[in-house]
Amino acid sequence: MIRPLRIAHRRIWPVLALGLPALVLAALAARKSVPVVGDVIPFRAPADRLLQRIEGSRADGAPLAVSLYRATDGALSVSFAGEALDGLPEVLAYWIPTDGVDPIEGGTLLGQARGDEPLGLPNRVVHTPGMLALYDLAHAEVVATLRLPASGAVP
Amino acid sequence: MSVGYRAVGWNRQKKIYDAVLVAGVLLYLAVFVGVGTLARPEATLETLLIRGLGTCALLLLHVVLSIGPLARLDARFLPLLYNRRHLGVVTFLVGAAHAGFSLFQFHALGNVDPLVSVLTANPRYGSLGQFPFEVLGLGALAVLFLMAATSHDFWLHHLTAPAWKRLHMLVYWAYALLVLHVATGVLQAETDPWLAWVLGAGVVWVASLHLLAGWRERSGDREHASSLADRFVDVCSIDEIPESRARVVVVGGERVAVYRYEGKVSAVSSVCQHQNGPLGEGRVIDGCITCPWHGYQYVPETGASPPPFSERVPTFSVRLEGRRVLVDPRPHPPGTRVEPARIEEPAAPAARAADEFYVGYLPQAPRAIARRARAAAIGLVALAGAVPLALAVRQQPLGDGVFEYGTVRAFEGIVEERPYPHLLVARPGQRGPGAPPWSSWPLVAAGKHGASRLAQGLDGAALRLEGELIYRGGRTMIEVRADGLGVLSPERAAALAAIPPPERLDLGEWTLVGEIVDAKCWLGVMKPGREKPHRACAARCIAGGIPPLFVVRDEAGREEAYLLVSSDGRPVNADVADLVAEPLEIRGSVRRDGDQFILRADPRTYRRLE
Repeated sequence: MIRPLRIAHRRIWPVLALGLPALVLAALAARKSVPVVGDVIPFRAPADRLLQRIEGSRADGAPLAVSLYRATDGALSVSFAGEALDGLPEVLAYWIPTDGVDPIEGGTLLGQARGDEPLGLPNRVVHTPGMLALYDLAHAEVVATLRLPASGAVP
Repeated sequence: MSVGYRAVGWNRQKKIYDAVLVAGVLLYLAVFVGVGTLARPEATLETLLIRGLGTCALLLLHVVLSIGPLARLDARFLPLLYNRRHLGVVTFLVGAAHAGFSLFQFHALGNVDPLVSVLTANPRYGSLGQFPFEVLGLGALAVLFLMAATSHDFWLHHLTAPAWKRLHMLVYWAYALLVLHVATGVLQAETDPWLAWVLGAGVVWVASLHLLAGWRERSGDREHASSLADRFVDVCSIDEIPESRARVVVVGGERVAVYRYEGKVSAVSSVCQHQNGPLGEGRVIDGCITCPWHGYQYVPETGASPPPFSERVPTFSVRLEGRRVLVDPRPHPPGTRVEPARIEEPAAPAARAADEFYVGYLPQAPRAIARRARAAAIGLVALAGAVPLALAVRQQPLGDGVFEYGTVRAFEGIVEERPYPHLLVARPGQRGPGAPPWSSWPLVAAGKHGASRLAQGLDGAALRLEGELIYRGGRTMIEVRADGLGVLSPERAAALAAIPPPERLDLGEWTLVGEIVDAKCWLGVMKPGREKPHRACAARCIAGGIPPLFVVRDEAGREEAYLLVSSDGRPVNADVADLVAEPLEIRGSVRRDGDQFILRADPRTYRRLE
């Protein structure tokens, strides 16, 4: 380097050595994460009384957990743990009264399984054991089935 | 050195240098992509390549910027300097690959030219946290391109070394731009403190080396003043100059190399004509002063390169008074022969330089230098393995969405155009109490485009369409193929028409906090499809008609996505593109449409959470 460039180098680097860390720190201080909320669906009704938690697995081996609830008026509902639906498109939940019935055409559609949102069960579940089936509508395939006891048998 | 034009004057050292360099870059990318795939199975290859190439280019730039001051501080690093321009060109190429992938991924296939998108997708120039970091990267890449394009000796020769050097000192500003590109880009979303510490350590390392080298150079710039009538300057004792080496002194405003060799003393400018390297730190080899940087040679008496070469440096008159060396500070024109001063009193034999001297174009490097160069190469390759390993495992989750790219399926249902095009798909089986009879799947077109043009005039039509699925957490979308639309049979259409319409339920006024994303990327096309690094892409997608979602999260990581519409139920794409990827508060009325939550609010009332 010739002398003028050495002088330029000596002037540039103190500026960078002070200015660059200051700007980096300011940028890091300016970052803002999106705040989290107490409930992503703030208008939903409070949770019913948990009767039972049933463990199972999906057809692909992924774990599946189902919670069975009873409301104060005796109505029954189920919800599916959020991670049970990981990696899947829209999944529909069906209740099937007996084995040997086509889970979809012979079952009762409860609604879309979406995380903690409870889906109402038919009243006869109190006395009738049956099955829960999860159906991937986009791929037209059953992704899980799970035995559900009559809720009257649940303490 | 070469007398005629050759694209690259290949020799053994350059081949080894480049082989190590290419192996290091490939190792870096392989480790980053491999470990990244294991640590984050949801990551796409494009994302890992973009991140791997970007971090690799930044690491290379750190190495490039370290070599110069290291070589000034310790001559043992000179072998790394010999082929530094190849390192610089590779840094540009790796950075250009990062930019190319990013440009395609985040800005192409939209409603404006990708380069225009880079400059316009994010207009938040007034905010440090939301600053359009892509522009900083583009500026740095432009500098690196300029340097790579002018790196050849052709440009060095025609621009002259001082102008060329001045141009290449822009790399310091390119480095600053790149550091800020990272700090205002990926580090806005990747909040692991360790990543910020790594960047900070890099900045401290490079800045410290340059400050230290600059401070050392300053002490070598002290001018020797003349106290003699004939203006000759007493610069040193002859005994202070080792045989075949020089003492560098400052006279007449610039450094002069006073060489002692074969019982003679000559003085030439210490500035090599090739790249302004420190000629006074070289050696006399085969009777020629040899520059320590690239081995350019000059005859001591004339300052001219031996034929057939034509480089020339200024010479200076020298005389001896006793053991003292005196130099005339007025330079002779480059290449002017000056009679050397002869050492007539042999006295004590001159000390010989004990250290070895590296000349890059010689077939074999001296043994100790070769051993150190090997150690440095092993160290750099180890760095190329360790750094990506540490960075890849520290990435945050990228989202568990899926894009079934290349798998075309057929779907049937009823198309609704408003508020955003979607397909109502009938749910099979008997309905239980309160179970919606329809699934509502948004429709989008290829690239960063909504499906409004495809769905135009089809509101209420029963159709069969083909497309690829995009889904995340139970939400499903279809990228429709433009040539995959067909009308359903009258019987099938009648069966669909018999199903009751979706129930719509007003849930009242609510205030929600979250982030606006574009539905297509967030559902699975991009990883990640949210926050600052994805901001420009989301803006482009929303501007192209893809439905905007307002994503709300809780502490357990659960997410709900609300479809955004205006207070009178119309699309808000034109109003929200500048508000994506930022913390927002929106107050509006929530309606449940089947299983889809819709948030109706005037976009002018959206509030940034500063």
